[in-house]
Amino acid sequence: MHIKCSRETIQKSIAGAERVTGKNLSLPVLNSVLLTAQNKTLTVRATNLEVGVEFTIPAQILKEGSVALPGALLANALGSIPDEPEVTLVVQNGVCKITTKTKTLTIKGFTADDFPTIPVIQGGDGFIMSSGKFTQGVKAVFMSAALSDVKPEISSVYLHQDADSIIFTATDSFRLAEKKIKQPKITISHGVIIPVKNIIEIMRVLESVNEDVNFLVTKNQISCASKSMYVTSRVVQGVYPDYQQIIPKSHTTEVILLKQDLLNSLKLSTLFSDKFNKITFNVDPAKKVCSISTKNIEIGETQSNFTATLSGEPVEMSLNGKHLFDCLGSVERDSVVIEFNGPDKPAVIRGLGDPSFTYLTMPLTR
Amino acid sequence: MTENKILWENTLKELGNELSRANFSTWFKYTDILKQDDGIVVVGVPNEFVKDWLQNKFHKMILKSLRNLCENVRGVEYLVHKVEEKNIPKMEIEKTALETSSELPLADLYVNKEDGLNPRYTFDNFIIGSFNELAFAASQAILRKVGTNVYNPLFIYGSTGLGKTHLIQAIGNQVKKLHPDKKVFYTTSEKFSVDYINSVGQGSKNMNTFKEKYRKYDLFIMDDIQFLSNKEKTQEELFHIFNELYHNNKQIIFSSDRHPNYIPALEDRLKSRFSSGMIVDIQEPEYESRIAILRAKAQANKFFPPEEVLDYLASSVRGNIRELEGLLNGIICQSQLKNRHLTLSEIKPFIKNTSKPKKVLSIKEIVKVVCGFYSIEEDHVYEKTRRKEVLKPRQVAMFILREDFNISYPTIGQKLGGRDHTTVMHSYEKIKGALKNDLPLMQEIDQIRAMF
Repeated sequence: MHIKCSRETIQKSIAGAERVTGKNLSLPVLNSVLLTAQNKTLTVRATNLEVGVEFTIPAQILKEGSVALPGALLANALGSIPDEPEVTLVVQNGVCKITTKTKTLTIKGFTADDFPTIPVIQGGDGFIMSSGKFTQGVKAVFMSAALSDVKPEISSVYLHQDADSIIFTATDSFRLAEKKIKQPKITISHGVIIPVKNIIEIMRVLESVNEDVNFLVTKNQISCASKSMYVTSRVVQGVYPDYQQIIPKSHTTEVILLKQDLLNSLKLSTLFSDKFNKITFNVDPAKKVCSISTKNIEIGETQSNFTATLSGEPVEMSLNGKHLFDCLGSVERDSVVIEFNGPDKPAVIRGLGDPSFTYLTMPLTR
Repeated sequence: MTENKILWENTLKELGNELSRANFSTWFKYTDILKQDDGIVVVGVPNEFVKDWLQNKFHKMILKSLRNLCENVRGVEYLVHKVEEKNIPKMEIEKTALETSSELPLADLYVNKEDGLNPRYTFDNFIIGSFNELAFAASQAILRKVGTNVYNPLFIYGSTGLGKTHLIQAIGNQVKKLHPDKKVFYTTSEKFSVDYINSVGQGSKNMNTFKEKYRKYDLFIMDDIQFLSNKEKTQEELFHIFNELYHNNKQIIFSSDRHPNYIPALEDRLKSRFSSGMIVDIQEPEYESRIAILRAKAQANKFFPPEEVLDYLASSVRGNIRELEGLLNGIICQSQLKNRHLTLSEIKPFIKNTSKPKKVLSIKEIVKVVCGFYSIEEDHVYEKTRRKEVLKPRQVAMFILREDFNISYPTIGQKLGGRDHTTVMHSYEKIKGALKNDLPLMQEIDQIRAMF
């Protein structure tokens, strides 16, 4: 193999691919990225057997061939020579020699034969969406997915179609986030459950490109392909809970307040909250009172009052401050609507006039 | 099943010698043989990555090893399938933050849309007592040989709240677990008839998809079949589906609240088909079973009431398991509210409130109902006549008065036209004896009882 290409492009794609390499697997070749020079393009591939990534970049191919090189090392090495515009890679006897104008490195590689292939999906349902829109959807919900592997269905992000929208959902059964992204021409008949760890990797890869991405879904696998990259991940075979039934249709108390106000007060309050991040809302529309308070026996306590538009019945309830804090990043409006249904029912959080994002959090009972 | 397991284990041993340890453990973890079909071995793999790799890299090696062990293997196919959850090493949940917050009620919503089964119903939480052990034994026989056993179709009946749905759904869930390749489908007769009506409304194309849909299953479960009475066309469709499934050796399970012969307005050809396999009934649980059920339910709710409370509940509430559960829930709720266990004296009024009040009826009213049922003049019962059409209602009335209302023989005799208590005793014994093998009489008395 003998190639010449821009240092920045190859470094970027190697750094992107390297992130998914399997760090602690018994097969050492999985720690590496596979470079394949063929038909005037260079492909950079990495996989941890859950997610597979492939970047295609333009390069001058002087001799076709392929090699697997340690990913982290290669990304760091190429990142440490920022001044060089072009690099040349020559592989001979399993050793890769990288030369620039002023530097020469040699890296020991693995034979490419041992490197796993990445499944290519044929057929199946699909849709086309810009990478930006997809990452926006994932970003809005993924923090709500469960972290433990006990229930694989809910340590995942769930994608399904509702008319002309893709709906992203994640829940750890104490809170739930749902984001609708409008997109014409979707055909996915079944919802697809993607493990949260995998979808974070997909999101990172998609963030690095700005293109229309073709998503394909089958029973076992999801793939995202654009001109310059291909990502695929296993999906969870299971049933996602029919969560729509638990989103309250009405509310007894409604609070509208500025997002920045709430964020600032939450930052303050969490300093004083106990280990359950308990913050207590006190809302009384008749007396025009809206406040949050926290209390920690060992430290002290806080109370913040808000100017807010209030309606409905008075309510006093405790929520997990961290859950509240997490979701505010996904609210794209300046004002936040919080809907209460009494102290032992979940609270609903939305952006004012924005039906695309819904967040549900359960009250703390003790 | 075990044959496949042994074959695969031996294949793995052989492959393990040829491959490096790292390679072997990466690619062959969580693989197994799903089935063998005419020389084609289907290997289950955990994901597409492994499937691709085994197909491209190790295919020849796997085929060779399989052939060495089993000569008639012609080919190998790979299929991605769900790894059984217990095989996956589980992470411990950090419980600190979780315990104080109540969970979103997601757990109840996991009903599988494809097969209609609720995963909550399993044999793990099914309690077996003498009241349902026959039904349980039949279900175990089915699990051993789905479709090709003598218990096809299995018909389970028993009155409401005794665990019929739990049992048949547990069979479905267990079959799904043991034989992932078998298609299981659970429906209620009500859903089935709605589905049928919809397909009728939309023309012949949908009619065909309806027929196709129900004929592809290996295990077909239909709950609450008694609601099919009077729905003639739905019955006819079920009849055809039944035949098709039965001839292809597919397992069929029905449940109903009464014996198929007593389901009103049900076609005879269906009745006889229901009876062709095994009919078992689930009785009311006896005291020991009730205790076991209460214990299990309390355990599931992490609530441990004093023994005497369970004992009292089990001895004072009869029949329906659902009611028993409801009472226990009420007690759990009350004790959580008061943050202590309830005493017996607190529980007693509670049970009184929830259990059905028994109607107080005068003897005259009862006689009136019986006479109404047999359409004879009420006065005749009190007269000294031994005409056949009067004699039977009179005896039935005496029987019911004694059996259900615990009225003494002399009082019954006195109130029914001044008869001797030995006459009443004779009538009582006569009806009681006749009940043992006189089906129509049994039905008549059941119907009369329903009128009180």
